[in-house]
Amino acid sequence: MRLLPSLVLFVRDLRTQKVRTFFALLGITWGTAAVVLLLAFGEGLKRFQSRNLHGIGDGIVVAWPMRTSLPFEGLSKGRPIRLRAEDVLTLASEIPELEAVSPEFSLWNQPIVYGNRDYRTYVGGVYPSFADLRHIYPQAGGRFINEQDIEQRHRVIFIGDGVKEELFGDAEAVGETLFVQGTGFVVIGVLRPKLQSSTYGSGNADGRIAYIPASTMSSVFGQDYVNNFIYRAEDPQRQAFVTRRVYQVLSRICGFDPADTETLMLWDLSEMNKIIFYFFLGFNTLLGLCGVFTLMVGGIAVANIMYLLVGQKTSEIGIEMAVGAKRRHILAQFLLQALVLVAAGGMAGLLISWILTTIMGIVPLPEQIGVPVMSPLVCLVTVVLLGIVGLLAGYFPARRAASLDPVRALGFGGL
Amino acid sequence: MSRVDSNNERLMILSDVTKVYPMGDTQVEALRGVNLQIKSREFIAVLGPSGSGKSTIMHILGCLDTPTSGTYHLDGAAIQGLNPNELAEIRNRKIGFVFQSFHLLPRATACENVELPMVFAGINATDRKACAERVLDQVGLKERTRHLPNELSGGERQRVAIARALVNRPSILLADEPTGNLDSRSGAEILALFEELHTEGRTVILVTHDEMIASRAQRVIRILDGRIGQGSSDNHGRKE
Ligand SMILES: Nc1ncnc2c1ncn2[C@@H]1O[C@H](COP(=O)(O)OP(=O)(O)OP(=O)(O)O)[C@@H](O)[C@H]1O
Ligand SMILES: [Mg+2]
Repeated sequence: MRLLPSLVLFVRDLRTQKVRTFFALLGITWGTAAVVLLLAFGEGLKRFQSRNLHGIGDGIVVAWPMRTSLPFEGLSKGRPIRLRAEDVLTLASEIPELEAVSPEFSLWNQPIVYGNRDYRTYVGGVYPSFADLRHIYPQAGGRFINEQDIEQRHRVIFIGDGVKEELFGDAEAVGETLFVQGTGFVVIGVLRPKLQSSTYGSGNADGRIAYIPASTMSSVFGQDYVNNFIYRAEDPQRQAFVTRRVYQVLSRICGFDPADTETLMLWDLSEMNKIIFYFFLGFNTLLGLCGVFTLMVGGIAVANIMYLLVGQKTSEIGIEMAVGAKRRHILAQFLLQALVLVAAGGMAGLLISWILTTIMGIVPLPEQIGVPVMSPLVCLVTVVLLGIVGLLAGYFPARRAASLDPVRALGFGGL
Repeated sequence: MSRVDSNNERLMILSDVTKVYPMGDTQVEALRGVNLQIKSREFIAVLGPSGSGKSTIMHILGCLDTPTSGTYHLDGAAIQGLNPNELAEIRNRKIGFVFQSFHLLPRATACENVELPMVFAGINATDRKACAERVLDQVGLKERTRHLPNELSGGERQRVAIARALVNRPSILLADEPTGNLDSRSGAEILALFEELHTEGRTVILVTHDEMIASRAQRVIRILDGRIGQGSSDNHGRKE
């Protein structure tokens, strides 16, 4: 109701302080852009990292059989744990809370030969469930290893898009025959390119490795024991329970103390997710703080203008008081004016940030940096920060104005 | 004083009012025990040499300032001990104050200046504008509503200030040397305006140096050195 006239007059007041107003606005604009862009970069980086993690597999646990560290029923400690594919598959039937599990046999540094070309890389022997656990999806026209391949020990191979590129170039790969250690394998599928993610064991990116059926791996290359296995709980909250059950079942099969956690080396990606979450919470807070300091400089400039206006308008404040302005009227008036200044600068800053993030979304940047994202959260945080800066920048000058004595403010008795 | 004077007819009562200003190490006694009773609808002139305490009395009467000691009753209510917000409320609704140097907001138009007291009374913008224009018309500034103070003559500025003092319909008008900064013709016009406002039923108190002006009031109060001096007169009889 009484906000409009004071704002109209405020703009007229600001015209008397063009240079200062300009720099205060610039400061707020700059500060806002700094907050938004730093947070947006942090958010982009976070998204890149979690997508990377997603590339490895959501909430999966990778387990490597190790050695016992406790004596068990007369057996000494230090015995290696050896698991066959069937042992791992037993887990699925005995633990209903287990959503999926896949053993993995490993051959490192195998030359894969096609015609006169060859490419050395990791070959894994896996089960069909591996695809879903590790987010491995075929390109159109191909498929991953299926149950029949396992049962019939088909000599088929699924290759990464990088492998396909090396051996076939642009030519069609599905249906062609590759040779590994002299044995021919028919290509059944090529990996749909995914975000680069170094796998846990092979040391090669997903696009640069190949998979064959686990059963074929055992029969052709004489691999009896799994290198590792991957599993995931149905309910991510029950991951710890499932892991305890895994120890119990395997301890029964292999004969070791179920409390002996050294028998398996575990890499729990759901834990990784948490770590990444907290890391980026800290990281983004830090980036945000850097932005906040810049914003504070702008806030101080606004407070400075407001102090100046209070001094310059002392007699006008006296006039307002003489005709009946209460403390809160004066307070609200100056607070609002500071907020308007900050809002103007903030809006410009948000606009500039939006333009810059949009441009950066188009221009290709190194993948590892991620693409800055002006998420709703980033905007909300910025608006809240701007509000706080505005209130602080306005409050102290406003309080000074409101506590003036009317007669003195009017200039009686000399100031 | 006749017996029929009832208490509620005494609109403003100052009892043993002093005002002391600290000035560095020393103190300035601006008022040294003032006793004064003002009835409703009186037209009073306050006379006195410079520095005698006229403005100080007016500020206390206008609730712009509070006495150092003594009491002030306005409309039957004690003013001393009220907080700044309650004083602001009284200034807003009961009293219109006119200053020697106009005290208009320099970057606000005549109309916006007149609207100001209504802003703090919480009146909405359309009513404010209509009311301000009506009062400006009443003081003869119909054609000047959109002018800034520096586009107006001294007499016109003082009319804007009077319109501002009138706009919330206070019953009391206080004017501290309202003609002090005006040439004699505008001064006479402003004085006529105050006389008219008095006839309309308002209590008018004005400070002046001019005996001529003072003679037109119903009562003259002479201030000397912070006290009500000798020779304060009652012109009632002569006027009627
Ligand atoms: N805020 C103040 N601080 C210190 N002394 C003051 C203050 N206000 C007024 N005085 C002093 O109090 C005395 C009375 O001042 P006041 O303004 O009431 O006089 P006045 O009669 O209105 O004079 P004039 O005719 O010049 O306006 C003067 O001596 C003045 O210097
Ligand atoms: Mg004076």
